Amino acid sequence: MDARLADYVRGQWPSLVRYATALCGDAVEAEELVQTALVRVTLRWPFVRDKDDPGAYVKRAIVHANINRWRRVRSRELPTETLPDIGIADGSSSFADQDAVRRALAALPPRQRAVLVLRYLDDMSEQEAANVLGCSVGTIKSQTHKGLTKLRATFATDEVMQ
Amino acid sequence: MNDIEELLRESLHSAPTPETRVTDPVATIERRANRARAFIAGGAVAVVAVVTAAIVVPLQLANRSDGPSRVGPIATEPPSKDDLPDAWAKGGSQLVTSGGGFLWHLRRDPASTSGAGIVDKLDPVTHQRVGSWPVSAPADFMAYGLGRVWVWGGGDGGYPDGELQVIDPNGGPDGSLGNRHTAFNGVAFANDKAWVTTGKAVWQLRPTDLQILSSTSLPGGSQQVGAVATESGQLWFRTDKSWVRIDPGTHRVVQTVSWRGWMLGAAGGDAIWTNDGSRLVALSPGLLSQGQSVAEGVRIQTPGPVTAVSGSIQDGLFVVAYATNDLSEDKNASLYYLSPQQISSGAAIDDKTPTVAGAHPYQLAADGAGGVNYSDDDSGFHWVP
Repeated sequence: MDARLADYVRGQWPSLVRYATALCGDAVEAEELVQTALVRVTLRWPFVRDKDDPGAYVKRAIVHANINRWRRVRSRELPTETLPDIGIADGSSSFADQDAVRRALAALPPRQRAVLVLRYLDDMSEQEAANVLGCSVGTIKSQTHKGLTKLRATFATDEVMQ
Repeated sequence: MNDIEELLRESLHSAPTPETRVTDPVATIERRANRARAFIAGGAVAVVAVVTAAIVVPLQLANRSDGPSRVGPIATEPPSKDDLPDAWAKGGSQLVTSGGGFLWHLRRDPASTSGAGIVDKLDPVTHQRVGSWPVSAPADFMAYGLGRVWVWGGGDGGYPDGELQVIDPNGGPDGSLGNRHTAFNGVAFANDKAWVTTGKAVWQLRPTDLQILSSTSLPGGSQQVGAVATESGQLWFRTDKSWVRIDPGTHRVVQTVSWRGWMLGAAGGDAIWTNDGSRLVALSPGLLSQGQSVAEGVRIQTPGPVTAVSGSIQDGLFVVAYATNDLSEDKNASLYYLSPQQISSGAAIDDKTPTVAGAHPYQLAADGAGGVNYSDDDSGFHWVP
């Protein structure tokens, strides 16, 4: 492995696992996801343009690996409209609210989840997110809208945000 | 920004960092990358060495007068386990194959920052360089066929820009197919054409100008992860679901069999070396419809999965096998030599088998003197068991 990529992996490993957890909703799966993505990056390293700052490339690889993973397991992973164990937030605990949002996010379909993570964790513009996912800006807009709508519905926004 | 957007942003940014089970992520990734290379290469690269052996060997023997020779009476003494491999290249060595009477060594270009490589033409006895050609990245796999050196790579998963490069060492035009959304992950040679797996279809290429003469889609849109031309001229491809045979004359799919083992190389006749659990099997896939026992020829018990095979000049077999199913642990791999007697008697690999412990190359190039060349851990080695 190239020394620059090795340094990046050593320094950013926990952060990448955290990022992948936001994408796939499961810490154990996330670690596997990061490994899969980094293997691809290692094999494709000669093509990485910005070798001194491979972060964006690696994150794109993680996003794509997650979508590919979901395609493979979709026969047994079914996103649900309702969350069985979601807590009822009382508005007094921001920690509980944030945890509930993360679990609601994990119940979204992977592509919607990816759009929201790119937009609200990576703070990407709609155009940037579209470039990463290889889709149109219109798709990003509609997926963002649908994702947020589902989050509101599952999170019982009226109660939490009062 | 409204309420839920703000809460979503806060929750994502404040998420706790999960505990990691990986203590050394770099080592883990490197092991998996090596395993991926071996898996993608499948039998294609190893096989080509076997297929071309009949051509290579006489030429190598002819060249032997140019340097120190290992040619002579075949040893009658049992091989010693103390015979260690000699390193003939250190640093940057990636692959070695044989063909046209020479060794072909792919190494990293030390002056390149883009991952470019150099293909060296080596004297098979002295390992002295007699020619060199630059190749651009990605250059992950190499084979010799139709009088040319074929180098390919890329197209793995989310970044599907692959490249196939061809060198004509006899002065003909070199060529390349690149920047296509294809996964070049196997090359076989049949009917004087190159048959290249591209991830979704098999292309028939004319070697002189790389013109695509035909494109054959495989059943179910499956990925191809191996390509072998048998000595009898059959052309087989491994997909993630089955093995598929293409008629090189009509370039149509003529047979599909339920077998998912790796393709490890041509095994003589219409047979292909493959894995079946902890067995190395010479399988004639065309006979599987009559039952597995009919289709299986030589069977050798191995410690675990086999990742590379090459026949020796003395009718023995060089085998790279792992001791467990965990292919990420390189220390579990070894290079073994099986004598013709062991093969014919169906004996298993055991503690008397000549062994290079820890060797885990994914391509082997047998020579004309009973030895084998391979690249491993950035070095080039020659081993005579």
